Amino acid sequence: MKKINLTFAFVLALIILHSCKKDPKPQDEPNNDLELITTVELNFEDTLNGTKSKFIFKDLDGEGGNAPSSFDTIKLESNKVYKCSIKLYDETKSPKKNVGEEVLKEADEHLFVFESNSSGLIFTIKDKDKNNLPLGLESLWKTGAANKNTVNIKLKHQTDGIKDGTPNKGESDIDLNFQININ
Amino acid sequence: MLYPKTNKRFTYFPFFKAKKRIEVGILLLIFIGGFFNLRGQENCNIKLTGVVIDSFSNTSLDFCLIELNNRKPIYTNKNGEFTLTNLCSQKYDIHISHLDCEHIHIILDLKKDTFVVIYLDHIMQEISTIKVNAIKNINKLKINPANNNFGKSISEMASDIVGVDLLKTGLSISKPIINGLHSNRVILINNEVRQEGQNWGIDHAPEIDAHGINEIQLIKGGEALRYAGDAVGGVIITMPKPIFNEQKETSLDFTNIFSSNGRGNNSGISFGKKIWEKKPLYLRLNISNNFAGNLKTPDYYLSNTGAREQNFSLHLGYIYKKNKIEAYYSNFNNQTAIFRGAFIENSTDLRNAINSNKPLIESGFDYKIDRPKQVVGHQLIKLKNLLQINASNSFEMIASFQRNHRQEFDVLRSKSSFKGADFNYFINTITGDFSWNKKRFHGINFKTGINLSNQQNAFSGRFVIPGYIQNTIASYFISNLSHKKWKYEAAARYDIKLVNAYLWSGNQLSVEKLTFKGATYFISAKHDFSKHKNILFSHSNTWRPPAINELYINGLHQGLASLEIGDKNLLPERAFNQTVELNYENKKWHFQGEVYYKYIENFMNITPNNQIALTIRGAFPVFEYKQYNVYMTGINYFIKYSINNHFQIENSLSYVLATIVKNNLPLALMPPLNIKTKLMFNNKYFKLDAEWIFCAKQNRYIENSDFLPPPPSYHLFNAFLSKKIDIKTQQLTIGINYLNIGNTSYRNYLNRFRYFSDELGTNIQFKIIYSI
Repeated sequence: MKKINLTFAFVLALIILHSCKKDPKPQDEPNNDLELITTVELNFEDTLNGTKSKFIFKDLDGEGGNAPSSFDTIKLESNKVYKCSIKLYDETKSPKKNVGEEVLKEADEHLFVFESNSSGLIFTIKDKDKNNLPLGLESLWKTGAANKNTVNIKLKHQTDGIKDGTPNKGESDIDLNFQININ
Repeated sequence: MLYPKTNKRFTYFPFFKAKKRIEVGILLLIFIGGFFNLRGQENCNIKLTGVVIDSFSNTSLDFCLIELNNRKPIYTNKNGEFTLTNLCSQKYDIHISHLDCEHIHIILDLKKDTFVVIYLDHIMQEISTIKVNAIKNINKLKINPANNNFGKSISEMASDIVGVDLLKTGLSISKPIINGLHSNRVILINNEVRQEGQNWGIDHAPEIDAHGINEIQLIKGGEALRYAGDAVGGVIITMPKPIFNEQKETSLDFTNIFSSNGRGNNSGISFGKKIWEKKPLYLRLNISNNFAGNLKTPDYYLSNTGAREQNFSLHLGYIYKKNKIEAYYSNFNNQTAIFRGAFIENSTDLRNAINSNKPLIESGFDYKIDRPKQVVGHQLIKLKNLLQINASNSFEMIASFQRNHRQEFDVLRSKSSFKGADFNYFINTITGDFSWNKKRFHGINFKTGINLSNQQNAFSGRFVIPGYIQNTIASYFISNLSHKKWKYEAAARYDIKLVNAYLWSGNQLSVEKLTFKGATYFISAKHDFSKHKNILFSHSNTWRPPAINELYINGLHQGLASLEIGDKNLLPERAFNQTVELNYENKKWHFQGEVYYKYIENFMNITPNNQIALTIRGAFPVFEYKQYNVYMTGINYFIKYSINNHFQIENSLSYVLATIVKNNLPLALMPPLNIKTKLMFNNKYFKLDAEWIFCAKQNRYIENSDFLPPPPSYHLFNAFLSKKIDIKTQQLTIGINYLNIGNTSYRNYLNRFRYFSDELGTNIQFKIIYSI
């Protein structure tokens, strides 16, 4: 009986240990399958003469770790209208993953919010989701007089049908304060 | 030779002389073959025969150890009978013990062939520590399905012990705080095995099935050193029903509790069997299932606060000669939804949520569990052998394996992308435990042994703490001695901990090797003024090395929008604890009061470092692990007054003050003053308890050190009504619990989600317990 008890327990241990074979080991290199947004690219196009400019925020190792490797200051000219096209990437993956495409696919759960105290700076969102609510990957920026200020850009994730066009719902997947210099 | 006083009642016929009066539990009846004593001749042909009977069930007790003077000990046979021959006409010391029962000692003055019937009180089972007095231990809870607290989680049941509070994360997750200390400083021992999971996490509740547990105890003495040398806060032991106590051939217990708040149902089945008559094999199987939906505060539902739990355990026991062999397997599975309104990943969102009176996300009732959620699986295998060499010596060997898999699923950013867990940790621990228990060695009882442990921690997905391998070897010595009206206890333990932490930076692996060595000791002296009153003084010096999270954590603390960073240069803590405890119990009154002063050197604590970390999701305050000296002082007391057999009143209070030495500032997140009062009534028809809980506002708080100041004080009222119905040998208990009478709105300072919502509103529970 003692033998049966021990065998039983031993077999149980084997079953449980076997299921551990697929577990990661302590020494394993972490393979990050998680979705991250590491890079925000603001692509501007002067609607008058077609000049393009790009400003980037990049933080390759996500939260914690090192500080962002790029956090550009937006430089635009005064009293002009610019098209702004936002690209989002996950550069921890090789090749880099286009997260902006995911956001576009789920446009009805996302909303970009642009806020600034820069005098005369007006934002207009051009693209809409299937419910005719704004998205914000494409927008128009109208600059005012020359000044230096900040622009806050948020990407709100509004799942489960809570999106109604207002900015305060959902979680912020992006919340960045860019310096902006208008000459 | 010095024998401990036992508290068993003893009656005797005049023919038989006994040296000591023993209290409740043993009746010794003697039938003497003849009324005439043969005097003069030295007669060594006397035969002593007897039978040992369990006074509770009136069945004979086989495998009782009968030890006579220096003779080779014998066991009673399957009918509880024993025979000793060639005894002389003289006085004999006889020790009778049965496995878990405290042994009893009687002296027989043999004159001729004698037959004895010994009744043992089998219900009173104490493990190793000797009860010198009759005062009830209020630090030990028997988990009886008929109790008011049955159906709650392990932590919630433990919080009924004075000095134990709850650290909560939302309304479904709680872990114990002992006198203000928790997580890495509170060690949980489940069925004699140290519970190993991601214990460092404030929102990681103990993975122990409350259904399988029969007893919860807060260990205050040197006994704690048998399991852990680093329990600066304390040790809580949870024990299933001892497997060898299965008295009935077959037993079946069915419990079911339905709760109106959350519309949840918690049910469990326990099946016990004594399998073989000739070779005793005992078995117990426990299965439990729990589900609940969204919880409700007095004013609103909390979105995504349901939970699911399924557990089972199998316990086998077998007695072979002098060996008690045990095998135990338990499987715990829990899924807990995390309140959506509290899952904040950004400082601005956090501020918005805090400033709103109601959760920003409105909700109705739903059973559905969505992300964010926690999923935990925990398995334990335990093998044990207790070798009872004789009444004073036993050896114990315990081997165990635990596997803990903890996953956290954050709010999904994109439906089409990754659907796995964001936090995915596996921690496996193997332990080996060898100990020697000796009683009455020149009056000293001691226990000494070795603990060995190998632990592996690995993860996939998001980094929070590194993968590591940790090996521990420890040795301990616990002893006690009773002399006149004093009982002394001295215990010491030495731990060596070797850690290999695997840190990746890009594609580079660096292995950090750490070694920690330290000693912990405990001494106490208890004086019995009388059988009713005693006072105890204790002093302990506890060593705690830094844990992996304190050294290497680096990551966003989901749900509280903050970044936590460890410090790999942390030094071990040393805690000096002094307590004075007074106990008094008579027929009407029971009082236990404790004051303590604890000085902790190098207390490791997560502290804001006034920096902001910039991430794509905004700015987060950074918290670092720092260490500094603190002192803690407090008082716990418990009073019970029995007006008569039907009415009792209980009152208990717990208060702690914790201060940082260098700047005299209070330590954050300490339990505020807590006072519980209970009125209890029972008659032969029903039992009714009314409970009033008062929790004060925590005034020891540094301005602007927290997102919100501590919430105001509150009063809570609960009532418990139950009725027991006996149907022959079966028992049915039905009960109604009415919790939070008055539907009070309140917030609890020790709940990390207090920024986002109130606590539970009214909850009415219906209980059915059926035992065969």
